[in-house]
Amino acid sequence: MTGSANFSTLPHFSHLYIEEEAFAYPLAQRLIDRFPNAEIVRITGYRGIFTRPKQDFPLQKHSMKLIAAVKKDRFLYPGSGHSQGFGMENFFYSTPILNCVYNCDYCYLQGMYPSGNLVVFVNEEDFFAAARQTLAERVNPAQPLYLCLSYDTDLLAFERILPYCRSWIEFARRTPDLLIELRTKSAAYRSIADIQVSERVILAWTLSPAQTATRYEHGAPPSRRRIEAIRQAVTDGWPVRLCFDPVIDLPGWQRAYETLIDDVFARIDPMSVRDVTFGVFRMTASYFDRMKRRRPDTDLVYEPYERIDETVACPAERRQAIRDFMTERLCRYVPEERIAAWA
Amino acid sequence: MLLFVAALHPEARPLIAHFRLEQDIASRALPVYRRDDIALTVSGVGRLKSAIATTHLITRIATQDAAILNIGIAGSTQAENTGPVAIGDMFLIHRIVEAASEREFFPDMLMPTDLSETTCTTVDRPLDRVDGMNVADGLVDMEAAGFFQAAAVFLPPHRIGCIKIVSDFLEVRRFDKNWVGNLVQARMEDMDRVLNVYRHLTTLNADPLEAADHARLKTVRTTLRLTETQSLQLTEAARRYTLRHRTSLPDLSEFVQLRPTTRQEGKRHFDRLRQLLDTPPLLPPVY
Repeated sequence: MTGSANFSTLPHFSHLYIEEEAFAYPLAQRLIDRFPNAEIVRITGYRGIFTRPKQDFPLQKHSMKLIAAVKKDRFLYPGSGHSQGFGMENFFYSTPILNCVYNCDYCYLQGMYPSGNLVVFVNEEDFFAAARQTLAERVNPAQPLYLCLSYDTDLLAFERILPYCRSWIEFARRTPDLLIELRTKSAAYRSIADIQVSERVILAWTLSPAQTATRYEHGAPPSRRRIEAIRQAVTDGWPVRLCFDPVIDLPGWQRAYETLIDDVFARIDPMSVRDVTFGVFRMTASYFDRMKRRRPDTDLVYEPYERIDETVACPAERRQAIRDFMTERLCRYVPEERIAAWA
Repeated sequence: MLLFVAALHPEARPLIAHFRLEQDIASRALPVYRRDDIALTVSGVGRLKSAIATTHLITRIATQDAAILNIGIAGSTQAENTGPVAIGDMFLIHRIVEAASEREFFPDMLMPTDLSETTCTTVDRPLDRVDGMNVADGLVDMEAAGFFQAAAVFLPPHRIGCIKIVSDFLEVRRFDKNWVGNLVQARMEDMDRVLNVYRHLTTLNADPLEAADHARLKTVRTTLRLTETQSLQLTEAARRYTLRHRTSLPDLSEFVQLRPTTRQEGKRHFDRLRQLLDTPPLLPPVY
């Protein structure tokens, strides 16, 4: 941020914008209790603040606000082509929270939402009801409903504020044929460590070499802390997914990822990992264009990417190099059939 | 650039005096007062007049890096002597409700000030206490919603502010002009601190290039007679250079002295310039 001498913002969550209707929900009350010094602003609808034009996303990320809302419809969305569906035909995702407490330079959230603030939906039971209905109506009843809950946010990173992971894990435990994925960069495994393991829950951690994390994953814990959280989750018996995604191929990337993969599997038994994914930098073109306008301060936006239909991604030869390298290195530890790629 | 919109002259007068503003005689439709990087207009009473004046001021003045504030008096929904609010209290508005449409508007609250915050409802005619029971707790005025909607067409919400001083508890009465002026005058010191916050907000952006860098690039663009597309490519290459090298731009003086006579020659110089900005850093690799 230029012009930032003596630049001090209000702390994160200095303001809670709460829909009138949301006050009746326990999660809204929990927010109020959690931030007793926050300014509470009653609002009629979350879109009135979240979708204002001309918001300064990077600046808002220095002082994020919380908006508590009641979601009315569209609780589940069909899985995106930019995500790995692992061959699951009943692939959906949901958004209990819009936006993330972290601020990763390569993330599509940089260009997806008009605001840097977070919306938390407090009507969990409506989400559960929608999941039950989608489960009952799924295309392939031979497969579970595969539901990813932490794509447009990081639920575990938010767990100490609102325990969404706990609720969804408990919901999955009592819902046969449901398989949920909770993807995170958080090291806050301790906040769910007391919960009984469920085979219907995949805890997925995104990992990057230390230098990438430091440079691009603002606010996220260092990789070594994530690896320690993974080790504990695996030890406790959780199905764990490792995500090397995106692989950022800056100079020296092979060495960095080789070191990371070796480090991870030196501490974690590869046989106890459910599966592994990796992917290249890719983004919906319109998100990328918006990100480029908003974030001229990250070198990632100046890389020579390729536009394939509506997607911006690494050029083909770089994708191939990443695919070959990552497959070869990961196969040293994990059978190929347990590796999924977007490259 | 700091811009102010006040409904009444008595509200504006302390600001005009404080910043030693002078009337811009070229502005005939509405009174505009200016000095250096500060400008003020007096809108008249009501949200429509406020919206018109706000638009007039912003379009008259360069807007890219401006912050704009609506400053004025407002009534409090609290009954007198029944709560913490007193005549003369000053508030920063975090939510504006337009009573006629029931729409709400939100200035972004990003930097700390020492002002209390509240909601302000904009009404179309003065309210008395009985009417006041139908609006949200907080303050009531006649301009903020019009001001905000006009300002939001041009500026981001963190550079739109609304500062209100409590003048009454919704008793319908005529205000003495001097009394209103004194009410604002008495808070000028506090207001100055808040204005510094907004002034600071106008300087923040995510561009890795400083103003001096942009000035140098502009000189190069003019000298080499670059097209719009080339100019954009140059700015992008300069940003990339700054981020990769983590230093300021290299010496570009060579390119400023050139005088290409043909488009092809200009293109050759431009390609050489891009090559210079594409030079990889001599620092060790990222990993």
